[in-house]
Amino acid sequence: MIMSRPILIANHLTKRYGPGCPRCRDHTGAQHNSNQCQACKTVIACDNVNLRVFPREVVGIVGESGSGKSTVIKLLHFDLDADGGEVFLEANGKAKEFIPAEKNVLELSTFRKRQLRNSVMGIVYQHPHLGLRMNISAGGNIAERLLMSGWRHVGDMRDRSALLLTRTEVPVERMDDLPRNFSGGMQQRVQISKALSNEPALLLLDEVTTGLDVSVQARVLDLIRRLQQELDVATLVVSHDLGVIRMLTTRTLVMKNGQVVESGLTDQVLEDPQHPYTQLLVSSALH
Amino acid sequence: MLTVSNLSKTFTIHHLGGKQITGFAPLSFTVEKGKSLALSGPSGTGKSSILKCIYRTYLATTGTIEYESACFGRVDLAELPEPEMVRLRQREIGYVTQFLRVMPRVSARNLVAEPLLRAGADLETACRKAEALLARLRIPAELLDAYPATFSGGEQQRVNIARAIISRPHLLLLDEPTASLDKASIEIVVELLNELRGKGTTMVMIFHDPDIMNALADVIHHTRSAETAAACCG
Ligand SMILES: Nc1ncnc2c1ncn2[C@@H]1O[C@H](COP(=O)(O)OP(=O)(O)OP(=O)(O)O)[C@@H](O)[C@H]1O
Ligand SMILES: [Mg+2]
Ligand SMILES: [Zn+2]
Repeated sequence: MIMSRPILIANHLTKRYGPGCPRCRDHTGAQHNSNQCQACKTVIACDNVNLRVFPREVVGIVGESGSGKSTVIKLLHFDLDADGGEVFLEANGKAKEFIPAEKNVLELSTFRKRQLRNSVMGIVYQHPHLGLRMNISAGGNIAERLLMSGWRHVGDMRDRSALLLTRTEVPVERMDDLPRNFSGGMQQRVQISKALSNEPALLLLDEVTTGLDVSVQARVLDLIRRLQQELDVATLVVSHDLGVIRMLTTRTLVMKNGQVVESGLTDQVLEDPQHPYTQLLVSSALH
Repeated sequence: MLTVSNLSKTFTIHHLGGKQITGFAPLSFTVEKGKSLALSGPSGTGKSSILKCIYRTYLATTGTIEYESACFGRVDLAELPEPEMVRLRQREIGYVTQFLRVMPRVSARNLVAEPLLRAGADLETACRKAEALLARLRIPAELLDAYPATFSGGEQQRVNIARAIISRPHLLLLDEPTASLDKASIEIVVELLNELRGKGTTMVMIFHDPDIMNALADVIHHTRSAETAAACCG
């Protein structure tokens, strides 16, 4: 049997804040316990990150606050511009016509990037206000996303929004309400609906349950697991919570100070962690 | 089917200044297709760690684990790329321990049906097979929709076993899966496992109870502590 090709390949992904200097490398990274160069004060938010996601697979990125997890997600979603590296995406549907699999998508024009993102990706941010417009209705948020991926018929969009909200367990009666008036858990559900509206090939989840009450967290996680099984969408899950990683992912990357210090099958990373940092992370989580 | 050569495991504990802890000393064994091998030896000789290395929950420190895969042909499980290992876990290799390590809030039926669904069965068939297997393991029908997290130890173990064997893995790793079962349940489990063996499943197992071990094992491999191994083999 031949394994299918990864749907996402990222090589040497790098993001800096600052001018950079020849000594940055000597000052930053897990080994130096810092992501900031002492010489030029540049922050290396993400340094030389390599990752692959295969079809249907759920891959996790775990690490402490500031380790660069969200940066990786934002680079992949073109929310940020990378300072180095390359990304290849197995486009589906319409995007296939204009994006060959061998094209480094970081080099696409802004217009093409937006097109690719709209047809291939879905994202859920930790803070609902990043993913939702709080002053337009829940249904309107989803419709807006549908418009971007080429939908035109108002009735169809409304039906689709209702279906998505039902799927994510948001009462359809609330469709015309503003997300501002929703609970945190419900806002995340609307974000998930929106992220799934274009049937993405790649779903990016950044700390989706952080900040929610434990019981609400559990329900959102259940929902993600169920949707994941139903939709077979390849997913990248970022979380500092090992419980979330254990529950959702099959493979995991561990980040510290902008670098990937370890990666492996999730149960292996949790039960036989190799890197000192991962060992610390695991032992402090399990007491 | 499975040839383990010079396999060993050492843990390095970084916060103890890189202290080395022996999981198990180098060992070698072979299991023919459809045969079962029992690991037997004093506590602390690393029997569970051996199974975990084969399943890649632990990374091997030395040695190779040659496995005849239906998907990929002959591979070394110690070095197989992770996506392929994931595929083998989904399609060919089952692992079951005495601990139910499952998702919270998933019903017993769905939990057991899941491996079949992942392998491409339709929901209807998968659920029917799950129900039949759970019935054989004497899980009361009214528990099918309940969450195993709330089950008794023995019920959890039976769900656990059902989940591991439902898709008839080619290689099955068993780590004391009957530890808290009563005699009647153990008999059913032994019967089920023997059926699987008859259908060609290869097994590597740990059972402390010599009766169960003898009922299931074709070969017994004796594990030794690192000191004993060193003293005898230099
Ligand atoms: N606009 C910016 N300017 C300067 N530094 C930034 C900027 N954005 C992020 N950083 C820095 O980049 C590093 C990585 O940030 P990132 O948000 O990716 O971390 P994270 O792993 O997602 O953390 P958390 O778990 O807290 O969300 C941090 O040190 C952060 O302070
Ligand atoms: Mg973040
Ligand atoms: Zn610098």
